[in-house]
Amino acid sequence: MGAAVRGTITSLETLFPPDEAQKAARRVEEAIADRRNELLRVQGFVSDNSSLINLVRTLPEELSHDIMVPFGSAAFFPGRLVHTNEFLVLLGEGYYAERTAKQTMEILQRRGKALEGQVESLKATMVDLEAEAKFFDSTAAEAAEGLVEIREEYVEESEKKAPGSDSLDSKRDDMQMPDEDEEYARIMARLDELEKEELEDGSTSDYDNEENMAGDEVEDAESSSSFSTSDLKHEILEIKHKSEHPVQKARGQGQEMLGSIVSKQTGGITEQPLTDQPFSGDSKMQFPAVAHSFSNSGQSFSKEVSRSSSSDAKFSFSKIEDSSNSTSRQISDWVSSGHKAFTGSIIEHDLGLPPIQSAKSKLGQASDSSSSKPVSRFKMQKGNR
Amino acid sequence: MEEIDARLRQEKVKKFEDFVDRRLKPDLVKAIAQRDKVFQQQKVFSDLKMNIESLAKNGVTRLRSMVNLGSEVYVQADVPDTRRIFVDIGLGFHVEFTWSEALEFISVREARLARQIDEYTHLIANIKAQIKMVCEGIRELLQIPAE
Repeated sequence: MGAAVRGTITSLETLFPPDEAQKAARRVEEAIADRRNELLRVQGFVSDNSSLINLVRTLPEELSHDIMVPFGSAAFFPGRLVHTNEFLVLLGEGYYAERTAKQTMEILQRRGKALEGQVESLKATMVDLEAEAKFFDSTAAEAAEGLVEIREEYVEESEKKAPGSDSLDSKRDDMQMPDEDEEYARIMARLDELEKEELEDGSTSDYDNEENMAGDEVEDAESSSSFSTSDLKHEILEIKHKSEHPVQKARGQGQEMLGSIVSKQTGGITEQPLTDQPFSGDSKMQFPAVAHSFSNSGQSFSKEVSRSSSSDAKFSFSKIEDSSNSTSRQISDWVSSGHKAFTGSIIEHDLGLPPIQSAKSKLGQASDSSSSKPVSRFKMQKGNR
Repeated sequence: MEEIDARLRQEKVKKFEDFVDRRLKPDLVKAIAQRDKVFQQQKVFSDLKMNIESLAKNGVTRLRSMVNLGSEVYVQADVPDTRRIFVDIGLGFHVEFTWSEALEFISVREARLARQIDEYTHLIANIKAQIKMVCEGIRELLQIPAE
């Protein structure tokens, strides 16, 4: 593949020749030595200053001190210090001030602080330089070891795809494949979820049914005012019911009760696969448009179901999806924008429609075991039963 | 043959240049620094001589001066008797002199310092001459016509 080589490989040795790096390291070392000398000098000033402070502190304790008074730098006289509490301090630029011992000490302490600051800054500079020297040393060592630098330009995702799509298309069927797989995985995850619910229902089926009943009764009361919400609820219930249906039929766990509830509440769609009857009258009266579309899709699916085995999980499942899709298409046409939450969830199914249909058709042609798709736990269980 | 010749000549030139750069020039710098030191000493002693002469001329026996304690902090000092003076005679020894004795010592010392300066000047001139000679040698090797 020609597109594989995008980055450039540069040997570190060519970028930083070892001898050059070593030279740089040596130069930094020299700078460090300079700084160290400077630091020693400034530290000498600091110690001089502190000893001078001590001297100034002790001088006024006596009226006079016997000293040798310097006379030039090569000679001195024996003499003594007088006026030991009077100091002449250089302020800078040739200006002197007469200060007492205490005031002189204050001046000297301020000078000491400035010197400390210099020492600190010098130390910081030295730490920086040492880090730099270490970096140069390590770079020289790495260059000598033959390290390489790999550099790859950042390419925008879309730009990357454009040149690569040709080859990708030739290799794979089309760009929809990954989407389809993704959709499939999502469906399977949902199926697993439903299966879990079903298992829970198995243990607490009576309670669940009662709950459903109660919930649906409430929805029924609300359905005239809030159409879409009740539709969504119906749909969810329907899906649940359908996934439950084959198993529960086999097991016979309170199926009649659930079925009757569902048929009462959700109209024709859920009822049709079970009983092959059209939707119940009252739900049709409540929402005629939806009921109509439901009945259409439901009838078509019931035909499919009747052709295939009723316990085929895949079929019952895809039917659910299709019915929901058709519902969504119908509903999204007339549902007001105030019910975005509902339409959003439905539209998601709508997007998944083509892949599911293709999957369904594939499955319809091929047997479940020979299908290229991974078989979910749910389906495997269904198939075994 | 010619290549080998050229290579040998190059090596020789390099050797000469190294001699100039690594031996003669540092020597020269060192000699000049030492001579400067002697100059300073000479100045110190000439100052001292002038000061003692002025003391003697004005008949000052009592002196008030400012002593530098360091960091440009000065204290007043009192010298009760200036007729006795301690002079540095070298190697950290100080000798107590009267004014006339001090002036005598200073003149001896100045003469010696002048001699030292002459020696250093000669040394410096010598080194400079050597550098010049080596440079001439390099010029001959490279067969560059004399200026």
